[in-house]
Amino acid sequence: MAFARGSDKQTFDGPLLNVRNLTIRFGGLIAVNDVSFSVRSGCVKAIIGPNGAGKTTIFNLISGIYKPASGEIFLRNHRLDKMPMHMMAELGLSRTFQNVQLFHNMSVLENAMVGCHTRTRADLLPSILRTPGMRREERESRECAMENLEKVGLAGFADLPAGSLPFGKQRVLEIARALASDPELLLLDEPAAGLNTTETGEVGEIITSLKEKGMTILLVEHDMSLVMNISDEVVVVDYGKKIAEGTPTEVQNDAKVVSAYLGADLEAV
Amino acid sequence: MKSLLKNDYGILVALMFVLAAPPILVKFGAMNSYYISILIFMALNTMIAVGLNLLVCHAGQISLGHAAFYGIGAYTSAILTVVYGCPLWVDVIAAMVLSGVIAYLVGAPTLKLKGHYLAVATMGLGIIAFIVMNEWHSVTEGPSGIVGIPRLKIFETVMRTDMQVYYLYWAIALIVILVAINILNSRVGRALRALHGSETAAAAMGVNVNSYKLKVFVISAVFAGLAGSLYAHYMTFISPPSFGLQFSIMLVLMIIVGGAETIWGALIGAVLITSMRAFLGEALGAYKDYDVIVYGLVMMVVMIFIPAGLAGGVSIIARKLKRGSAQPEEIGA
Repeated sequence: MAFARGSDKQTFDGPLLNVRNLTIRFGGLIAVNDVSFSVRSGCVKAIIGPNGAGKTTIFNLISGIYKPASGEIFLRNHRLDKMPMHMMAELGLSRTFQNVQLFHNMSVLENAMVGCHTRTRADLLPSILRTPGMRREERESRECAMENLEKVGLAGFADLPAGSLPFGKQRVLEIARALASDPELLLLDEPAAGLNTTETGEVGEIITSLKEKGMTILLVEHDMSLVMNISDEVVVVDYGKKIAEGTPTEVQNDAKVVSAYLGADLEAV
Repeated sequence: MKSLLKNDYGILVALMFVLAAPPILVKFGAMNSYYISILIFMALNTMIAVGLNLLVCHAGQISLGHAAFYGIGAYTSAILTVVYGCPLWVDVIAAMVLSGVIAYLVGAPTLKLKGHYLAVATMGLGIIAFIVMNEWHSVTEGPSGIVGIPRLKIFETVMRTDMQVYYLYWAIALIVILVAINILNSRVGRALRALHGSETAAAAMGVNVNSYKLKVFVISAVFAGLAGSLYAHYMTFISPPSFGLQFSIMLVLMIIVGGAETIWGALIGAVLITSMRAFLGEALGAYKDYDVIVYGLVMMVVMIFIPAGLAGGVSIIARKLKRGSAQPEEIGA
């Protein structure tokens, strides 16, 4: 079967993502310091914190761009932090980037089709010979890419060069590309950064509709109203440390969180 | 016809018809048969340029030493057939395999590094290969080269005339182009273009970046090795100067002048630069060595005025004409 992922969904009942004691240093700076949290299947979780708190670094650790100095990351029972990046996608982890990283030299459709990479197998020889199996996979990739473009409302732009899309649509295309890999866990790195209110609203709707379909999402976001609207749980980091975790309401009333954001002295509160 | 030309396979079929023209022209005396030999070189250079186009233009990895693979292919075929009496065509396969293996050995450690390390490593390989060809007398006969390489045979027919070689080599060149088109229009081609766009994003989508870079490097070396082997069988004599650094640069020039956007840039570049090489040699006469200046100028002019290369330039001009003209249909028709 070309389009199925060998998955162990049924055999594991812990949290989908489990991050334990994550630490990374850049020179003398401890960017992420002993952070632990987990994401349950079907849950939308947000990592928030002031600028430079280490949110994106945590993301880059989970998705394998950085390797942690210590700590462990598990997707179900697979250890991610010792794994090359491209293997994580095979396991069902897919992400978007804060600084949009589309393939500008390719069309919108082709971008989404790259998302299907892990779900197809045709290598060099079948591609050169255009075997029936390879052509079937191509058809399936195209269909799957189109479906995901439709989900985010980009189907009408399929043949345009990805670089020609307005910025808001580029962000959304990144989500479609990530979705095309049929991920179990979707990592969204500041999906609303640089977007205007309307565009942010559209992204929010996309995330909500994904959540309704049972997608597990971990996101980093600055837009507080978006975060509070769509998240089931929130982790707050400051200076690389986790300072709070809980539902949006709990976190909003947490003294440490208030002080981190408003800069108030703890004793004075 | 017009819609056919929008498709790579359509262009390939059209090209087949175009290639049937020169022999007919020669037959009716409208074309000097000397030009057939230039057309054969165009076929060889097209094979290398197509591989280099995949590597440089689509996967974004730069090689400044593809003449080495061309030379490895040529010397493998020459030595196997002349010294060891290896059956024809088997030596061609061997030349392709050896070029591929050497590319693998050079590429495996260097392609893991980001940046221009491959360019430097391949340039080094080119220089080393050139030195080996000149100095390893017991195997390569040194600067005097290897003579007496047999022409290829198809069944019992020896490719004696240039016309026969012309048909055979262009047929092979078309197959090489077809292979490249098929690679580009596949999951592998998308992975290559993706890693050119953003290695991080490609890896995040599950593309094994190092493995794909290595694959495309090996493929491009295999194409160059094939061209080298065919070159040896056509010339029947090879010596080191054909495989030096200057030819590597010439190959890069071909793909830059031709254009990076499509595989056809490789063909256009190979055709243009090969003819320039042939005619400049005659035109400059005693000042032959100054041809390098002309190539440099051509490269500068192309990079400044048509950075998309000729293939890209043509499509841009076509688009502009369409937009600018009141009756676009008449121009198109």
